[in-house]
Amino acid sequence: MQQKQLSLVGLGIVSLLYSAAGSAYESSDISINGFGSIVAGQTLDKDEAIYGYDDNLSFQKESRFALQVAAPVGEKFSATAQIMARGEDDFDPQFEWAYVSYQASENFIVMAGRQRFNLYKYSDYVDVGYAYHWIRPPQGVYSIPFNSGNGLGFLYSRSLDDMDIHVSYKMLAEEISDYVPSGTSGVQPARFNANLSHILNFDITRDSLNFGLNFGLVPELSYDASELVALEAALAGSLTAQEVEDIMKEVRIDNEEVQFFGAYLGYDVGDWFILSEYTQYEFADPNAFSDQTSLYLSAGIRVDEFTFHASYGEDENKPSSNIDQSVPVPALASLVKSAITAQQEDSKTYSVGARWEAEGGVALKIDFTSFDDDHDDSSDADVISVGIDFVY
Amino acid sequence: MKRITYMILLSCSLLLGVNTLCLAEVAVIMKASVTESADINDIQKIFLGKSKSLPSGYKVTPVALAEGHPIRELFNDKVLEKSDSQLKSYWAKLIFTGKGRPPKELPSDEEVIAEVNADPSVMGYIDAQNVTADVKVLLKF
Repeated sequence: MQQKQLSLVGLGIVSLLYSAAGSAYESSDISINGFGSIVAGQTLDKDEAIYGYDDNLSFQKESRFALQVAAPVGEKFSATAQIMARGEDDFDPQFEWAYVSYQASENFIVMAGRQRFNLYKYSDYVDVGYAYHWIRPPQGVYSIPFNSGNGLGFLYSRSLDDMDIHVSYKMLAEEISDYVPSGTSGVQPARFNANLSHILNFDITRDSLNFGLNFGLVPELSYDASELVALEAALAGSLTAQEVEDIMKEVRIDNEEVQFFGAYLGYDVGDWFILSEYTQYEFADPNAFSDQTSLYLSAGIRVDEFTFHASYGEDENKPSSNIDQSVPVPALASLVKSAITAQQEDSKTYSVGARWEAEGGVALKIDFTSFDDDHDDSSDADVISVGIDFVY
Repeated sequence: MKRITYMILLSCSLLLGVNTLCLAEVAVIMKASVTESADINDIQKIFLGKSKSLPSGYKVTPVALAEGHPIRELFNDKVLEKSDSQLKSYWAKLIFTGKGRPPKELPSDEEVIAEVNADPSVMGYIDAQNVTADVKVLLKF
């Protein structure tokens, strides 16, 4: 159903684009752009798995292609559709963006429809590999279940003497996706639902300095993990209905309120740059998801057409619930504990990489990343990846 | 971009200034009847899509030369202070998030002059040697 609605929105935008093309506008007003990345990666040891990779070389997990068509509709409106095919979805194309925008004034744009948002610094263009130095931005921060939704966006930008200011607010009615929680492994994707999200972003650039703040509020977030249904059935075998309910209400991920916060600071003088971002999210009430705090630091130097960079990341997932301590039967308590600590993680990530500007609009990249989880040594992994990013 | 500058310097020194590129200057132009003025900062903001008007409030639409044109390289280097890949990354970020669009691109100086002539809001840049009486030069680089 959701897929159908999405396709309908997308089709609506596409037909708007067609009607714009067929009417008085010349085809030169319609712009077609695209981007893509082909990434190949594998872990260095046969027991290791990370970012969807294992010790078998894969070209599919992070590869993606996107095509964007934008056309003016009248004087101040324009319609844009961006379709992306991801390797991890077997290159099944999906509308990532499909919106109508209204240039209300020189500084103010209103967008209605399907769009991405700035939960964190790179969130709204995280797939445009060409626009950053890594093969993938630090995953502790950027492996979040949702980046886009259907709703309204308000973008304000202002350029003062030596300062550029951007403020955006997005209100997204509903987003449903299949999601594998970060910090878990071997888990089947389940239905993830975020209702009425609010995301506010401030971004200021002054000369070489860039600074930003992000705030997000999702009042109702749900996740239908089949493991939790099985857990409830197991509890019901030996506890009363009331006892089961008392436990499950602190385990179930059902209409949970979660708040996001992020801050970033970058300094880029051209020949070298340094960048740091701190992010966190916290649930209002206990549930099987963990609260998360992440931080990364990245620095690089540019020599002619090469960029050499290194990054360090720290991620901590803390269970939001401790209800296992109130479960009377030890065997059941350990089942509950494994459910509420599934995301628990206390990890450090180190990576080094290089980017080469092969020619206009094409960049080649190589990256080595080492992931070390103090909480669960079995998820430690080293992964090497190479990629080509392009824009046109 | 640095490499291009080195190449230009190198070719200048080898050819003792015979190469046209080392003599080349970029002229930023508007229609001759326009009375506005602009400094490098204003021009940078217009061509990076950060501003759609001059400090006086006069609305401006930028027009660029197409990729591969030597004057475009000079303009990007001297005025925008960005290499080709930095500029592409900059625009990719804006295009794919719905925040902005790069200037329209034209293949030759003649077409830029024609566009500037046709519309007093258009600002373009050309090889300074090709400036005609129809256009006003705001700045040369």
